[in-house]
Amino acid sequence: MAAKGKLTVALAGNPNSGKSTIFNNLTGARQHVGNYPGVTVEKKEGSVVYKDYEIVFVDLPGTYSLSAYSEEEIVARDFVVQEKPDLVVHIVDASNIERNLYLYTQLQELGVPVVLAMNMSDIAEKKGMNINYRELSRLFGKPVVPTVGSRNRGTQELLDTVIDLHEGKIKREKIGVDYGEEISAELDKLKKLLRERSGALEGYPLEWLAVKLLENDAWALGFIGGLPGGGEVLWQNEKSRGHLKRHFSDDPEVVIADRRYGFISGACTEAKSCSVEERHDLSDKIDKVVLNRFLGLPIFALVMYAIFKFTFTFSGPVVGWFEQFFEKAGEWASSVIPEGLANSFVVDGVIAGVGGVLGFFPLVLFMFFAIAFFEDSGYMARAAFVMDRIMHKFGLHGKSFLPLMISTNGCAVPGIMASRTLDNKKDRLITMMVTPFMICGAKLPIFALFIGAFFAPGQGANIMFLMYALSVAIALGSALVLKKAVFKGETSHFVMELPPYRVPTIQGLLLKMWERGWLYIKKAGTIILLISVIIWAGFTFPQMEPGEGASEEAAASAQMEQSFAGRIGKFVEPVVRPLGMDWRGGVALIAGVAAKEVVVSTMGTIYSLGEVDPEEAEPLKEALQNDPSWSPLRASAFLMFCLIYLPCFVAMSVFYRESGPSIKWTLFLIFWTTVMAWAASFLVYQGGRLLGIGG
Amino acid sequence: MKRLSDLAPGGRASVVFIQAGHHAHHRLAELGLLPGEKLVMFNNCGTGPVTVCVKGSKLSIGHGLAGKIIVREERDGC
Repeated sequence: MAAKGKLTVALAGNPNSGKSTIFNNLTGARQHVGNYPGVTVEKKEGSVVYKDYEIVFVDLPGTYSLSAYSEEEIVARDFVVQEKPDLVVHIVDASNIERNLYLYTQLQELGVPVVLAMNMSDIAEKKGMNINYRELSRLFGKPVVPTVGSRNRGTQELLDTVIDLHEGKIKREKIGVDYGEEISAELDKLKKLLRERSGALEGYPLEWLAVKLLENDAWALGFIGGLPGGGEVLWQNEKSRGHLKRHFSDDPEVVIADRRYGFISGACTEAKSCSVEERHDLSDKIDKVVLNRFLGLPIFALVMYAIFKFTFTFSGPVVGWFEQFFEKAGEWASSVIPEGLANSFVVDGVIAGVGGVLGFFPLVLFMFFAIAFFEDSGYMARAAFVMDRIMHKFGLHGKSFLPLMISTNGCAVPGIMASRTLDNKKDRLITMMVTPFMICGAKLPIFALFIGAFFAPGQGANIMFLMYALSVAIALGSALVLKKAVFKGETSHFVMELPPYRVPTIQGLLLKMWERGWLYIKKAGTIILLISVIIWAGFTFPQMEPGEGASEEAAASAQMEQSFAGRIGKFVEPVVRPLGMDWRGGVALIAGVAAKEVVVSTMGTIYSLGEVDPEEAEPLKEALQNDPSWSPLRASAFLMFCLIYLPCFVAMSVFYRESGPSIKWTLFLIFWTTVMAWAASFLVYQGGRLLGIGG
Repeated sequence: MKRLSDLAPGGRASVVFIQAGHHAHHRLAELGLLPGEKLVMFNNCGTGPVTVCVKGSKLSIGHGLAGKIIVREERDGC
């Protein structure tokens, strides 16, 4: 088959316009997920061979506009301007065309050929809207294709139209927004100045740049300001903006938005008619209950409980298989590799380390599936709405609840990654900073061990509950402090669309689950191998000869004391002594930075017990009880430290990448958590001693 | 004239002006909350965000921001 060539087609559209469904229909499973360079915005690509063309579809982030307010918007417009796709398919929710077409008014200014896909045309029809697609096409000068993504209708027509437009079989006309005499005159002045510098504009369309300047777009101002002679353009822009402000007594960017909506509403009056009065639909009825002042929070709690129940019920057996697999792999490696350093390296270093993280993978997948279900159905936007009332009081955003929730009993790594849904950088940093305070699945064994060893069974559940309550209080309290002290300035505003409820498609859910799961594996997998090896080396070297007649366990214990890790533990002993710990506590805490459950297995090695399964630590419990250097008070101080201190290495590395990447914020996170953990632990231990609770 | 945050559920109003900073003002304009735009209050608990129907979809707006949107209530629906 002779290929006629390769086409790059970008898919643009609002969030909730059914863009990913169309993308999945167009490309099937031939997808590739990555990141746009330098930012934490996901980039999805997929390809299809159609009519001898290889068409590569790039799914742009869902946005309402192409201003420079969020990374998504900048990524979307930079892709169109710099990568110069052959075409853009703009996916419009046909049942909500006015809001959706706002993005179109900006896309067409970028000068790229556009095909309009009127998605969910069936829902529009059901709502009693008659849209004359041919008329709409004539008014905009662009091809219009009605589609129904959820039933894979219109996909073929969309592909045909893309190729026809590319081959020039469809005529396209340039019909832009009429900004009115005053604005157009100022735009012309700017365009004239820009044209004189067109060599340096890097392919950005003049028309679009001029509009962006008048809109006071931060990026455009910076870009033009950096050009030779750019000062003159900015000076003219200030003059033009001042003039328009006086003329309209409103910001020019607001007047421009008004004109764009005017253009859309003009087209809609001609091409759209409503045969029935818009009535309250099912979504409204559900929202009356879900957003209710009294029922909102209980329903939210119920949904969260359902997500946890689903995740733990169904992932349990699969997690078991994974653990067995790594156990078997370890046994097999032990039998193949002769005893010695190489054996220890593979079994204790690589397999145990990687297995520790991958063991969580099924749990994470199931949780992603449950979350995708509530996202695609439309509930997550409501959850953010319900939670905003509480979160706002602590300087967080309604959407911040999701990272915190994923981290509780789950894992902070996908939690930190989920903070991407926050558009504001400050909100995102605060959320990422407090997410690791939640009690993740790996911290649980530490709590179980110490609470089991030092508190009566009846007390245990209360102490555990207290720990959960403390983790939430510390996370929210820290957020408040960070907001007041570090991230000062204008609070970001809570504005979001509540999309109509929809039944998610299985294909969409599975793809979403897999994409996010794969991202987790890539993030966690690459770093964990390295860290596992470093930690292993820290406990293994320098090697020492076991003493005469010493048992294997005693030798392991002595080896640990002599190892680098043991020496570090001794070194930090003066620091942890005021917290009621000796060097052994220090070593366990340091090892816990690799992964929190390692605290338990390290304790096992220290107490000469050999291998300790964090799930069944009965003998270790007894050893701790019998050790006079521990007491309930000391255990409480130790747990307090575990609750707050440094997130594990994987979480830190993901934090580093997701925060910018920013060394500054990562160091801040390390400092903040360590100081707070020490202070809280100090208060518990010394305060307890003052009150005479124990030594 | 009253603040959007004071509009009771079911109340119909049109936007008169917005007192928020440039950034928030522009953002709201882009989402269709422009002077003259008609809206219907869907949900308002007195605290926390409010939900309004505007431009054919539901928009939820934080309480603080809703207090900066000045609307004129329309007595007999439309």
